[in-house]
Amino acid sequence: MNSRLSGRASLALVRTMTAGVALAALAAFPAPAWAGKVFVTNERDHTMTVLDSDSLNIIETIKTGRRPRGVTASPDGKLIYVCASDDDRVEVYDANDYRLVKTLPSGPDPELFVLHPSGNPLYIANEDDALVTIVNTETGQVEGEIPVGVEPEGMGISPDGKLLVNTSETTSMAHFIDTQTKQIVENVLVDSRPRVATFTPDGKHTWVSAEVGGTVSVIDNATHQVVKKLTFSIPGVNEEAIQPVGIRITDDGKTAFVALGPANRVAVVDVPTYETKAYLLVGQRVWQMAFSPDKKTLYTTNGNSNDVSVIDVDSLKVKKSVAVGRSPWGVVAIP
Amino acid sequence: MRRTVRPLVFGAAVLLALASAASAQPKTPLPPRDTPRAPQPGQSAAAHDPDWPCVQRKVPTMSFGQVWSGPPLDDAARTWRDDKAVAELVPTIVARRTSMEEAKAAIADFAQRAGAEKNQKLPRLFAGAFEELNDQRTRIIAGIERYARKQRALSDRIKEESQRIAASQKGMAAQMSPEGQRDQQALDWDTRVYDERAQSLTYVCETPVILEQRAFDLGREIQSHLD
Repeated sequence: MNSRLSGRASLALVRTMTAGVALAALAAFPAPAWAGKVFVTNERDHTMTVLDSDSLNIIETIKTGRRPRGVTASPDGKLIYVCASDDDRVEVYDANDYRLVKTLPSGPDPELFVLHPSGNPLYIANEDDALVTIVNTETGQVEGEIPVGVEPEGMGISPDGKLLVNTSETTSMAHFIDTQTKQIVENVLVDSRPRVATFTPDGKHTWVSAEVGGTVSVIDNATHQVVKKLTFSIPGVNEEAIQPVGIRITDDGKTAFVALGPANRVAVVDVPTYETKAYLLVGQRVWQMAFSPDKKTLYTTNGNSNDVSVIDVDSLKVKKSVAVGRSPWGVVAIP
Repeated sequence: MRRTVRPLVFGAAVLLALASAASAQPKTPLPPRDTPRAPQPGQSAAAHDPDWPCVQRKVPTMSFGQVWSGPPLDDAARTWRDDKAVAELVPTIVARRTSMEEAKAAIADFAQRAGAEKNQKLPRLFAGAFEELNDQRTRIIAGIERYARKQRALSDRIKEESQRIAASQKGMAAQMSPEGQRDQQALDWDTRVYDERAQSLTYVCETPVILEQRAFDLGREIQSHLD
């Protein structure tokens, strides 16, 4: 498989060189100075795949707790946090030697979580219990539980760490939570089955995807008003197959990527105009996404084709797909 | 332990909330905590369609945009049968006995032989493969629905038979009579057939998914040869 792909790549390169634009081709995909790692949770295999971000080879498959879903890294990239949903705990792995360092209490059925930008605490959505649990990552103590809507999932935190947004799937709301008082400031109604909440880098807006509603709501964090509702339309794709889930926004705040589930596409949205400029075909049932640390690459988890797609952010090309475990769910990349 | 702590924490939170200023309350209230969960995507459709026994959402036909981002297929869909090389290769690459590796090799070979014409011929190859896979898939979906109806009929019969046997064979003599034995045996067979069919349901329901994966893999492979 690899030799076939690299064979094709070198063939393409030879062709480009004869066209006399070899330098441009080399500049398009610069190789990183040293390789990082990409961690992918496989929901059905109860494992986590570790990829070398340079070669995209699998360097390790870690056996995790049951039904690993949400995954994130500590700000220094040394620890990997995993929601082991069916074991009702968060597992913390060493990013270097893949050892299970410790487990944290999570409340029942943790699905997604978000780390405070400082690395502590961890805010966890408890799908079965309509709660957001706050856990101190140092001491492992539960610092609070915030009652939210039914079936909480999406978790986003403002760049300054002061505002937390959780979405609840059944209630179809985004809950705005003050992290100082641990109280809900406001509940904002969005479309059916919200899955993910992501802040814009300037902290002014929160983007919330609605899987069944097929939309993304852009909420003004100051007024709690929905200022824009994005819809998606792809020629040759049934409307009901367009189910937005994952959202990632580039650091310059100009481009947003929205994973569209069984449409098998990632929408590329120009943020200033809210226009969708491309729908990239990735893999089957694309849900979560993560940028590489240098933000030049976006990784997507494709739950039904059991692979990860690698997107070049500048050229908006899907460079490669990498087979991982069964039902890949979450993804995080570290330097 | 957790069960007792949580109401306490929750109660304390409520008291705190009541004690704090009313302005701290969100304008839009939360719904009651015992609100039933919304159905998962696809679940509601399944609930309304008693003939669809699978957990996977019923999608009657695949749409090509889910597996193809190459050039538009309108012309290719009309003309693929007239292209001899395409019409010959389509049955091979869609057949389940052809491994994906073999299919990939056949597509690569096809692309090479198409030469300068490959940007016209490859979309035709995909259009043909997609049409064939969609047809197969539609037939399988109809088959699954037939299967579900038969299972329902069988389950009704088992229920009726067992009620009848229970009513008519109250004594040992009736149970041991040739007629009673025959009835019981028929019931046993029906139950066994029902159970075995129910067990293979997971596999049956996977079949449309397998065809979708095939369409996706073929689409990706064919597109990779386009300029």
